[in-house]
Amino acid sequence: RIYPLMRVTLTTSDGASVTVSRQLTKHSGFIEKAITDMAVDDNAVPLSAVAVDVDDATLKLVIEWLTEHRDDALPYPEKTDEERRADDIPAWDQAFVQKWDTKEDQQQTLYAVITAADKLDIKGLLDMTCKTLANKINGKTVEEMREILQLECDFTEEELAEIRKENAWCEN
Amino acid sequence: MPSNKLPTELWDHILSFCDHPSEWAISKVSQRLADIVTERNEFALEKCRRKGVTLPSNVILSLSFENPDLPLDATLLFAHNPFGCCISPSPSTVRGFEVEESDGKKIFSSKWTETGVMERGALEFTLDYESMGIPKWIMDGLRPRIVVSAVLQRRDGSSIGSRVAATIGLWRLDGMTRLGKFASKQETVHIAIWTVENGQSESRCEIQMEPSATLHGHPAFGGSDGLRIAINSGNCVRISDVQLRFELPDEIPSQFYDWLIESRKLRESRSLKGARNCIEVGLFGL
Repeated sequence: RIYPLMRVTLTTSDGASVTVSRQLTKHSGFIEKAITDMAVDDNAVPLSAVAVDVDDATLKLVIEWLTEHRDDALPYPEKTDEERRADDIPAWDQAFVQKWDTKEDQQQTLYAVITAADKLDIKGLLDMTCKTLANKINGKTVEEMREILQLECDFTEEELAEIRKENAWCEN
Repeated sequence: MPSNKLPTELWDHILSFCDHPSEWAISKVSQRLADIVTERNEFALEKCRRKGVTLPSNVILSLSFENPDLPLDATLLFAHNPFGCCISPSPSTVRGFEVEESDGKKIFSSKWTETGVMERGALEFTLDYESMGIPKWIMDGLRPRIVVSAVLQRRDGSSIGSRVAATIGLWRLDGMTRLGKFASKQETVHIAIWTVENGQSESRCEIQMEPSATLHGHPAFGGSDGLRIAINSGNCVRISDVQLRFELPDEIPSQFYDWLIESRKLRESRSLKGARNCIEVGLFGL
């Protein structure tokens, strides 16, 4: 059992310290495991701060999401590949991600949060952010995808010729 | 952080939310993403092979991977194995048949009215083949052989053999109308006759519907949409264990693209309102 007042300190990759409730960290498989490894019993706080390989700015976003989702059921419902869909992102989550669109580095923020969710093992956040990126690229052309993902084409001329050949039928 | 720094397993997770054309397009963005998509496809196929799922031939798999408009969903293949097992559809409508249940199987028996006239029953099955992993382009372009089978029994007390006709075509699946008249078929494209001989009590009947331009190019079907298979049974018969099987060719037919275009045109030329990508199977007791 986790008591609401129990708090744990996290140290970020850029040296900041953030103290959060165990009600939030219970959604992170990584933090929970670290606490279990360090604490003397199940309900105790860890003996020292938990180091997370996430920078302070990204961790703040993660905590904001965790705060909204603190009451989500655990364990996170696993879905089969067949049940997976990208169009079921809750309204609050959509608004949460849209806020980043005002930033110049919106894509970088999204990648950073995806990576953080993966490192901290927060399945709900990982799914939501991956769906967001999938929605950005679904239905786009190859060129549009390169622009969204900020990637250069690194195929050889021969490979490009092959791709154009494959494209021919679709264009016809 | 640039997108190309995302680890492969995260790309794999992101791609699990992408549709097939987008996944194909991603494989043309950069070398690394091409490798990830290829690896993902190979992994999905390997998973299918390990489970014993019957996959289309390598030529057909390559055709799908190279074309964004020809998706093959390995997840659905994994879940339903549509080319490796028989599909046992449940009837959506039962008219004029008595329904019994034995060992979890439904048996549909011809029914006699109070005046001693046998009712002309009808069973309707609807099969949404796309949700089972058979995409429209396979039905349209590869035109798999469709095998319909059912177990037929003479009803108790019946001493005569039963003739059963399996028909594929355009049918009015009305059975007995409100006015007491049987709504007959309007057009037949393919027909086969089964017979349960006098000496037999039970017989598994099977009809193979070979791909043909007459069938697949029929404007009523609009390619593969709304394909209907009807089985007309003789009197005093019990029908059970209705199954469908799809058998793919190993090679890609030389008319593949022509057939696809033909089906696409047929589909465009008819009203799509209410059209479903499904197979309807009707079993009639005459």
